[in-house]
Amino acid sequence: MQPLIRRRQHSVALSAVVFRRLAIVFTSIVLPVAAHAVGTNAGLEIRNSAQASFSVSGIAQTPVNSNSTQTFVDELIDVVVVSTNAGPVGVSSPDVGAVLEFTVTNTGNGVETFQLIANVAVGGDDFNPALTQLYLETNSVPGLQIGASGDTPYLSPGNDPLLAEDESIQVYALSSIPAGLTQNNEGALQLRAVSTTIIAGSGTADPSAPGFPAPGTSYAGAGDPDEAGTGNVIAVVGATQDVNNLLISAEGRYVVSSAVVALTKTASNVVDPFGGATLVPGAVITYTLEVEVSGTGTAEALAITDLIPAELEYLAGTLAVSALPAGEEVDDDFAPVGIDNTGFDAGTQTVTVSLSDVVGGAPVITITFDAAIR
Amino acid sequence: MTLSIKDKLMRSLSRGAGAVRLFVLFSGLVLSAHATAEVTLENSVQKVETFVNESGETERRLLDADSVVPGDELRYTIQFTNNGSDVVDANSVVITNPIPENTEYLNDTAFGSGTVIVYSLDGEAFAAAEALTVMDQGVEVSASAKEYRAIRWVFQPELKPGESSHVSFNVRLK
Repeated sequence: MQPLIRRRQHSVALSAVVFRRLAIVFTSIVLPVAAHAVGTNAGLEIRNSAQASFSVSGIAQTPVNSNSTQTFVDELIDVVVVSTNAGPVGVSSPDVGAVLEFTVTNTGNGVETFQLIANVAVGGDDFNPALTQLYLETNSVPGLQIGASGDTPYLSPGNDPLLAEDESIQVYALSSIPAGLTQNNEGALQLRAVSTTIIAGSGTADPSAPGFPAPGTSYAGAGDPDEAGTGNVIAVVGATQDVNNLLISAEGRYVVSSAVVALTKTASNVVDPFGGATLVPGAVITYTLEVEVSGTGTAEALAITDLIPAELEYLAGTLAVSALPAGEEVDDDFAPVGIDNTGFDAGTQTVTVSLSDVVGGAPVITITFDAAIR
Repeated sequence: MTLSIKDKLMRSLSRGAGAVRLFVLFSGLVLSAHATAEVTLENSVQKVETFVNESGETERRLLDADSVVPGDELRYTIQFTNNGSDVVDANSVVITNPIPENTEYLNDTAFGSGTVIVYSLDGEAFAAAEALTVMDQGVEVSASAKEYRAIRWVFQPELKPGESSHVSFNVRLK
């Protein structure tokens, strides 16, 4: 009835007896699912009081108030980790600097610190990536940047992320990939977030350890401070730490993938000066190059060059490309280097098309140009 | 009753720990003791927990509200007692309880033997549940229990000296 008093006893007597009793009470309870990401903040006081009016012999009496019940909201410890890559991240074998992205969200109702643990020995894959370093997104630039103004290397426990209720942090796992792997080999990396309250209370950050708490386990005085400033509320292990612990960790995957570039060149549409299709001097030939990238990887910095033989003359203004990256132009000035690398270079008699990065499975890119027989 | 609380306070004071909070509680009771009321109200809270028993059936039970977290269901019980020597009139005991902040009323949980129960969306106008409506995109619809801001019980019988009864309602902590 007066939770205040009992609660006070709990937090003062942080005894093993209290602990054990609470543990027993909770073992068979079906806890409400923590579907509500954030509920009433931990430490808030819920007050209730009633009022009554009444009359005696028809005469209204002074209304009376009840006592006020006061209940502090305990801290529910919940965390959700998700992999934020769209799918397996393509890598080479060997490779370095392969990055997986995760988001860690505090779905509890209090301010909580989480330890992050990466595990590369995950079953159901073909190889183990070698974790180089975890990074915390701290420079407000999307993606992982390493260096002076880059993101912060995660070094537990020094910078274990402290997250307010419903706050998220982006975490990057930078790995190297072993040599000798074959196409489509997959390697998984699992990131787990464990509340430091749970680690302190149970002595383990490993959900498979016998001491790892079940939902409903409570730690007296380990929650956020209460609103009245009289102490800290109880911390209660939430449903995300259920028997499967599926929510507190997430798996990202690397996949070994190379991109295969197929180039097909055809000569077509010969028009001779006499209206026929005879290969005589002055006849114009339209060349078509089809570029197809297959595989699960990306052809990086893909550039197509075609040397025009001495017997042919490139016809100015005829170069056309079905899909050109931004910054490239199908003009005849193959300059300046580094800005526009597409065009005809008279100096080297070369048609060059810079396609930048082309992902496997992208639509076939068609390049056409005309040349006349000298 | 005041004496027994005083006793508790003294005992607690001798333990030292709970003094500050107990004092707050105590001063509240002093106020009601100064009033000339013959009816006293005693408000208490418990946690309603759903659990699976040994036979695998889902059961509900009441626990101390020592540890409450968002999503928990709480039951508030208000016991009212005629501590005076006069009979309190029939249909005159009207108990009003605002829904506590950060909680939402759970439909059909208000209870009170011998009472007529009405609800309010604003804490001022009370009506039967069926009569409470809100406008939803220009259409008048029944108000959801979550929107109730207060509950009122009208106790129909007389309350004779020494007699006591209680009303209760459940909320979910948001």
